[in-house]
Amino acid sequence: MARSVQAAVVERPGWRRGDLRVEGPDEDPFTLSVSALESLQRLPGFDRPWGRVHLVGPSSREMAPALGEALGDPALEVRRAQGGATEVFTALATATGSGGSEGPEAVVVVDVASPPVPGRVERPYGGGAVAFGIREGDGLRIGPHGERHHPPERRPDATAWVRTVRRGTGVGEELKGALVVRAAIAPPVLLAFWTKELPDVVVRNASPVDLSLGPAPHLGPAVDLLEAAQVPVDGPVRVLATIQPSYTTFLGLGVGDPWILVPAAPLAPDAPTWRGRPEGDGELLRSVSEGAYVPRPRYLESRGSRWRFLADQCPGCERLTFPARGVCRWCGRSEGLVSVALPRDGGIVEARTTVRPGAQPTEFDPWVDAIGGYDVALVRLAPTVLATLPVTDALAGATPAGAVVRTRLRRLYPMEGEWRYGRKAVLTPAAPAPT
Amino acid sequence: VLLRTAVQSAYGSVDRGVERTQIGEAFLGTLGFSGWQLGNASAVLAEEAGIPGVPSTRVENACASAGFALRAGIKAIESGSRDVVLVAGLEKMTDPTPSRRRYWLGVSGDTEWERLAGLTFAGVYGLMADRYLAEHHVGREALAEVAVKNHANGALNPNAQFQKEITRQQVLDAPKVADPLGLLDCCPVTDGAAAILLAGEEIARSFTDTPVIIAGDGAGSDTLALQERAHLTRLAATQRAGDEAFHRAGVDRSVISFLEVHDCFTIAELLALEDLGFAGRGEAGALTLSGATRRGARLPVNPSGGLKSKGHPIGATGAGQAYEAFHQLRGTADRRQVEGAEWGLSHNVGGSGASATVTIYRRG
Repeated sequence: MARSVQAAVVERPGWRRGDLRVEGPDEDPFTLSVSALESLQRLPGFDRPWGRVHLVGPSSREMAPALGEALGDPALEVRRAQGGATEVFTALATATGSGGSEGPEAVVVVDVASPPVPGRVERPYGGGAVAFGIREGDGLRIGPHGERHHPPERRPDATAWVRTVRRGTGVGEELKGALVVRAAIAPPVLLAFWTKELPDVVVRNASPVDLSLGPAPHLGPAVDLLEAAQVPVDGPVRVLATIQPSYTTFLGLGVGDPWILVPAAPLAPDAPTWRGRPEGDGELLRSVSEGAYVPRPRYLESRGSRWRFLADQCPGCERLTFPARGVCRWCGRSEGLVSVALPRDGGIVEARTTVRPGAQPTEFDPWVDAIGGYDVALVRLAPTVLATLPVTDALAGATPAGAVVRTRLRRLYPMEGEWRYGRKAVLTPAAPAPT
Repeated sequence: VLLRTAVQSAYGSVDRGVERTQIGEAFLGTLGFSGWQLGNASAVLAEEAGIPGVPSTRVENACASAGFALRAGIKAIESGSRDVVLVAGLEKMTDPTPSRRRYWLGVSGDTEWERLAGLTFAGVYGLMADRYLAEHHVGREALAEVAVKNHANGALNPNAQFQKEITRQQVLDAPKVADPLGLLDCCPVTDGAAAILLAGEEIARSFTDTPVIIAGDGAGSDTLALQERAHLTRLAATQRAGDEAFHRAGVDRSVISFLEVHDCFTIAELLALEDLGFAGRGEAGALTLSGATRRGARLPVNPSGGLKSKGHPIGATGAGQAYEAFHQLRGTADRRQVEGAEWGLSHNVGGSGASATVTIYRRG
């Protein structure tokens, strides 16, 4: 049976920097990818072992195995690709094509916000992640894709352009009326030309839809694809064309069958803001901790509990020990302990404090510099299990005792040249319903 | 200088004098030793006390270091292995840079799950306070009253760091540090040292006609991290230490004339009153607001000013509490004297309750 995209999850950060919607200071491509993929894991058909994950966007070599570990499958094959629309479409084509593996696959596309660069006219852009879930069955069908170059010094040839798109996507006369154009950063005159020459097509303008996703090179094509798939155009076939100043990328889509879309949560009016990382990650990572030291082996040993809330369940007294430590802390038994993953969402805040500037450990100085005070909560994960969790994506003091929280994997602190990650609590918002 | 001053003062407090050669062992409670002698610091005690060659041991249980050093000294006397023991506590907290100080203050809590979740002790006690106030429907006024009372006591103590009174409104209006705790809910950063001479009762009576007798002691431990405790508003280590101390002393709580409890944050005094059995669960706030814990009232708590006003030189605090008990029971506490004091209790907590000692004293 053919494979198709049967679900997509959009994870857009809930922070502001100026007009941009950006990831918080504790997020990066790894955390954004994990959050999107964890959301995908919760959807029907994707809660079983995946065959493969395709990761498109900025990533490090260490990120691939860490992604599998975070998702509970250390052996998970993760293919990495850097690049823009072509790499996104190629990954989707691979996952939906005959080269696909056994079991569901996921394509996760990620971007982090770009800071404004002094002296350059390009707009900065926001960040986020989109996870596409692919498995056998009917859904959003990914067609052929291609590119057409049109140097800006030459007058655009609409007829030739349409011919190329038809040939590249395999879409015939039905292209008319089913073309979704997104002119990401094309000069207005070029966009006006396409609109005039192709009067029957639906045109999506370059202006940001929400808080300036802008020309995010990786995430932009993925978001455009989802938007194109939802544009109300007659017929089951459509083409997404993204016009850049000197070239156009295009992708054929089959949209006749139902699929699940989990949109990003709306940006709260009081979304927290921060000033960015003026010192850069490099300086932070090179800094020597003046504070609590956790050797790397100890950190690696604790990652199961930190990342996935793994606890030991004792076969003798049946009680849970969290964090897992290889021995039941209630009765001392160490044989036959069963690893149990505690719920990551739905925990209740039992106590909360707001750490004000000056009361933070030294490792958290950059965090305080970026956002001021922050909350830390004791969250009940299970009847006998509490976890001490930093609260993120919220203003200090906004998370009261009794609140229901979900948790997300985020950066905790830099140590020994690397970021250490763990789960943080996030106030449960009024989640947008899947469509 | 701090350590030397404290030891000389201890020698000088012996009515009929003590020969240094009589001291058979020494114990030093310290956490950070100003950050410059993190290993083998106990040798400094022998040097400064003028007792070269005498075995000395450093005891480190964070804020309860001196409490446990005192306990080690008691055990050395009780076992019969030593006749006279010197116990000292020392902390010089203002020398290191603020970031360095935050470092070694912080590493005594749970490093992996609390410290690296963004908490220092203010935050950990802030969590306890948040839970306590919600669980027992108590207002911040009860916490503030602890600070007001202890500052009033500290104003009478020439050794106190803050010798001035404050008002409840000042406490409530102070800048927040770790909600719901504000600046005046927190003990200060303090330099200090204290020294105690312990001896078997017979030998002690050869030194003085008015010894202070250690009637009983107890100790306990608990998990480092709050998240692993059954209750967020109870310190199991304190409960165990208190029960053991009263059992060993063979008395009940009604005989106690005053308490020196570990009020590193105002919430800690309320928890101590309940954990030690002097108030029912959730009732310490009302007890405090009633005035019953003031110096001239039914149950004086922290007549020295406590950690809150007298100061909290981490590793010295447990010895400082014993010093206060010594003076209260000999009737030499001057303006802060608890009238008719016959029995006293000191309570020293390590970190957020991972360790605790309780010592019960009586007039000799």
